Amino acid sequence: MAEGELVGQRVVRIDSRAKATGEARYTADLTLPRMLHAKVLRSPHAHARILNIDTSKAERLPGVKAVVTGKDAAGVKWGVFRYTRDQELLPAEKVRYVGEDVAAVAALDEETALEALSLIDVEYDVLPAVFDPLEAMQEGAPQIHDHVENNVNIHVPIEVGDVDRAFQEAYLVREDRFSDTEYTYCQTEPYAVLVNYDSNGNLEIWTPNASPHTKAKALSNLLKMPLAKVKVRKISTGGAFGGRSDIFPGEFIAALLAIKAGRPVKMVYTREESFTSVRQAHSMVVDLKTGVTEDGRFLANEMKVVLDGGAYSSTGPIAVSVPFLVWEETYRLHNVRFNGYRVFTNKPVRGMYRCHGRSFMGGLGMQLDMIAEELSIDPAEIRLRNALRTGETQVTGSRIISCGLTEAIEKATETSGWKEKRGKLPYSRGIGMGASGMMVGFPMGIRGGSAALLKFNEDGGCTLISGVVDNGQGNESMVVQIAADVLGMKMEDINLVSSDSEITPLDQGAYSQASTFVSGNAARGAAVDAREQILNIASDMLDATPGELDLKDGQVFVKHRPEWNVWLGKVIRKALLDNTPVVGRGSYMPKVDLRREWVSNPKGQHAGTFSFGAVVAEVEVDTETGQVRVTNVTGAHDCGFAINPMAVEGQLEGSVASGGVGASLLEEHSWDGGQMLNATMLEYKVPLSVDMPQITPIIVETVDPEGPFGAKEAGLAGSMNMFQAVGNAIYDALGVWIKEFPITPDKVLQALEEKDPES
Amino acid sequence: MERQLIQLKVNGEERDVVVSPNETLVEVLRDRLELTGTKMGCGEGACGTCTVLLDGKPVRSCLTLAVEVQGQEIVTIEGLAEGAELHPVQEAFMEHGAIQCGFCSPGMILTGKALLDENPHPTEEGVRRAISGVVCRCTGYAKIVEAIMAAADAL
Amino acid sequence: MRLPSFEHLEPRSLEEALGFLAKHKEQAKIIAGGTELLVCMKHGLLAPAYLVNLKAVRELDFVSEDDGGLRIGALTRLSTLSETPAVRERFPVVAQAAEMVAAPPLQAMGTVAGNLCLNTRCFYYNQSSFWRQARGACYKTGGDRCHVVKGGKRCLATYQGDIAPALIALGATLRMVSNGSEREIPLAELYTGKGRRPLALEPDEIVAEVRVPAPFDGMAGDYQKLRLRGSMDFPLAGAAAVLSRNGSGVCSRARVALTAVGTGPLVVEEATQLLEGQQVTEDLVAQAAEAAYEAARPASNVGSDASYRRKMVRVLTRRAILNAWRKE
Repeated sequence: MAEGELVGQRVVRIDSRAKATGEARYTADLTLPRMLHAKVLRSPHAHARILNIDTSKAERLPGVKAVVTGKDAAGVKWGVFRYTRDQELLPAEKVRYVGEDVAAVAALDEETALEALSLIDVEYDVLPAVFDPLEAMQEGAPQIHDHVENNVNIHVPIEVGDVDRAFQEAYLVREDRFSDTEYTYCQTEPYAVLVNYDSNGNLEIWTPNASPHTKAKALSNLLKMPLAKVKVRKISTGGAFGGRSDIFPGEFIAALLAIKAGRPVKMVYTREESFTSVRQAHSMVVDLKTGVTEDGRFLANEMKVVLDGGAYSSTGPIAVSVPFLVWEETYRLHNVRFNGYRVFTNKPVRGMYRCHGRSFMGGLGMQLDMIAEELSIDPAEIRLRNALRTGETQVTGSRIISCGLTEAIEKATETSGWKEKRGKLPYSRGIGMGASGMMVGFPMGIRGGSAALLKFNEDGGCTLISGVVDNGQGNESMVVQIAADVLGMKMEDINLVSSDSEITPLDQGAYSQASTFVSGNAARGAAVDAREQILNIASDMLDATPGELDLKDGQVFVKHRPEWNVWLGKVIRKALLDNTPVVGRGSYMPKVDLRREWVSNPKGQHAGTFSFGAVVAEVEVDTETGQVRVTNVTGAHDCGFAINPMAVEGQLEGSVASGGVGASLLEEHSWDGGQMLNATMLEYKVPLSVDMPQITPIIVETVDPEGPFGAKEAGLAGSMNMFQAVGNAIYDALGVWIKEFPITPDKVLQALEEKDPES
Repeated sequence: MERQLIQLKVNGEERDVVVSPNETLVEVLRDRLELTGTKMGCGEGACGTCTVLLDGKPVRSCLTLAVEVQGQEIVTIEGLAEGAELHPVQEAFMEHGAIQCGFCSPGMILTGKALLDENPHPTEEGVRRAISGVVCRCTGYAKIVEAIMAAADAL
Repeated sequence: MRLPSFEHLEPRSLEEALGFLAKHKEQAKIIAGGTELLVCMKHGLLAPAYLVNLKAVRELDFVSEDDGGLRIGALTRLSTLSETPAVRERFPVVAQAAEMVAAPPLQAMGTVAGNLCLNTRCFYYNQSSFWRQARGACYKTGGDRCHVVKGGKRCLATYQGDIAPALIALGATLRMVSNGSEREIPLAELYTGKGRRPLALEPDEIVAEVRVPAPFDGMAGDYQKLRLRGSMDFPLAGAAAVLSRNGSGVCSRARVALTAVGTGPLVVEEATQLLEGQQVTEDLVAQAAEAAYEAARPASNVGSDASYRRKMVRVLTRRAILNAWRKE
């Protein structure tokens, strides 16, 4: 195959065989000699001072090898940013949510560890707690962190243009409030961690993660160990969706226990712990004010969003910025004011999620439809009028180098039969659309890039060493497919070593859907470099210039005389004898403005490129029960270029499930104070096979000038679009707007009753 | 509570194992027989990742006592392939991109196999219903349904 | 989540099983499918010293026709129940309800008696020991309060079985046996409505079989279930209706039973009074549905909003009655 022939093919993913046979190992599957089992004692209180912890009885229990409390944690605090270091991963003085870690035990088996937990006495001084972010912001609300007044964790203000004047000039102004409840990742694999600490001071960690390097750096800081001694190992990860990015108490506590006991320690969370004590998604209250011209173009836009952040910062500055970012990444804004507040409450910690902010994104899409209706403009048309295009610059300064938003909207409407259906379906059936743009990566400083190495063996095979992380997206397969394409090899002839913080070069991790763009580019660079080295060496052997040579199926040959060729293995051997072994090097750092900062300086190039998408969804509503069924979805996504179309489709289909059915209609946590009422797989309603619509994925290719083979990403826009499409389709079906997510049957029915009290 | 020696027939092999009555099948498979291909997603029967076949039928191994399945044929994901030859359902899952993170795949593949053993030509609706007790968070089920339908054609 | 310790007893016959129960009384629990019991044990809600496993008591695993009626052995799997031709053809409402229990693999594990004897459920009860410890015991766990309705005087845990309303509407009875004695009770009387002891079952007693009387002439039934997802979920409300139509188009017998809107299945007597002896009209059905709505007492303890679920009783009941009427 020539370059560009293997990419674009529907290939079987390299990780799928091991996963189909059960060989693939996940953290809980691992055992090490002398391994101990750990369990954590958790706070039953939402807010309490820890007065005393007596672990003496637990320590005396036969089989118990180590007990740790906040005293062992030396008071170090974790935060993703320097200015958000507010979480003691094992608190010594205060607990701030139900389920927070208080003490932990490592024992010979899990039963002993659990028994030991029951022998630990904790004295608490229970404090008043607050669970609603709007209440938490009021004067006199319980203060969750001493240094944070009114519990406002992060405030991101952004203002561009003359917003107030623009509102005055607008032909039409609409104001709406949208909101949602808490929801969560619910990855199929519960949280687990295994830590091995040896007598030379090496700390090895296995845990489901989206970036071994980020975890390693955090643990190195927290444990005050050199980075080279903290080794986060490669492990299969059962889904992430943003929820495996940060550092969690689990890995810190397991490390403390392993160091204290001098033995490997494994800790596997229950499903309940995975729900309450790792991460959840934010709930939000969104006030949206939009002013447009008579022909529906944005003139003035204002958004205030309040996020319930839970007890600690986590990725707070990012989370609170995303509503603004997705907004400016989708539409041409001129005069815009944004105020994002992330507020502390006595609830579990919230992080970034694939379906982050159904309220703001659903709200943006629904309000746009409301405006379109008032102006008698088709919803597709109003989107096209405001949609960003290639070459434009977003309102805070990011230039768009490739943009398929218009094409995505056009293709989704065309394929779905939008024109024939919109407004014309019988009552109770409806069709709606959603569209969005999405950053491919974000500024992460030195962590924002990726590097890869490719080393050739004397038999002509090679090993690709990449920091790329795969949580199920297909990233491992993607880098191999790219390298194989460049090298004219079969994918099975390239072995991949990846996601090991000790062995593989720094990589941004599977964050912000950047893997294809960044890690893929680095892998391509390594392959291109190796190929050049090979052709250079072979040029001597074949008596031709490197430019006259090609590499394919393990042979280097002269392009116009293919019978003049040499076996690749022979070239590699010559390289070794010549003391110029073939090692390809590649790296990529996205072209972002490194001065851009979430809170202090939200301007400048935010991401290297942006992806875009649009979906059209059809719903059917049972008007007596209020139950909504999504029946058909047409999703068009500008992924730049589809390295493996099957993987791109899979991402879109997954987005429809989590965003379009789960987040839009089903998923939410219910609470009594700080206690989660439905921390179970039975009561937290993840969509099932029978709940899913027919999905028609459409791949839009804009061939990004920076991306590897023009590729960008495929992971996120689908979810973001589905909230809008479902909300709008329900309006098309029933004539009611439901502004609170998830759109559960009781809300639908209530809206119908309010519209027609007679019914 | 007395531990007892039981015989389990797993993937065609007779295995002697000493267990306590309160050990569930998934614990024995994973912790004692090192068959970690069977996953545990919730331990409460609600997610289906721990599905194994018991006399050909998919069951929740987290809600099955090891002591009560003596004499029955247990098949785990490790027992599906014959040597290097994968079962057609496994092949189809790979070919059709039905595997993403892979955590639900063992339970999903075994459920698909059991369905096709019972009904070689299921409808799409029948496939959706058969796998409706296994949660997948990645794929949206589209390619899983497609793979099982394709395996039916291949069988 | 691990199971607490217990001794596993494996009787080979009903007699042997009853012997174990007579010996160990409250210390023993029966296990059949295990799909509910083991979850409760993992949560620390139950810690029996003995589990009497009925798996090998084959004499309880049967479905047979008897005088035009049905005898369903307690150990019959829900999937077997819905696949048995006699059930499908002559009592399709039972098959319909059984097919809506959880998901197919759980129907193949769960048994008829297990589903009938489902414990009542509550967001404040079906939780781990850790979870419950944060707020202290409620009526259902031996305490003196209800967490659902603060100041509530009784346990409001919800009965969420699917097949009970259908079988009650068919007039099913239970044969219950204990060491040396035996009794037959209407299925509806199995349910006490009490939180601590929701079943009128003695500790040494086993539900041996369900007896369904021969169908009345012109009889048909329907079961309507409200759930958020198309599978797996317990009902948030459910209504079963069984109606008979005589030769002159009059409803000769009508039974409506509800689930998941009270502490036990509810029989809507008023629906019977409204419908029997009448031509079934939309208006009459609406009245019967209204009566069901009035009877329903859902609590906000199993998901979704209680007032919404109560309203849905009206919809489900109307649909069940109309479907049953039209099927015939």
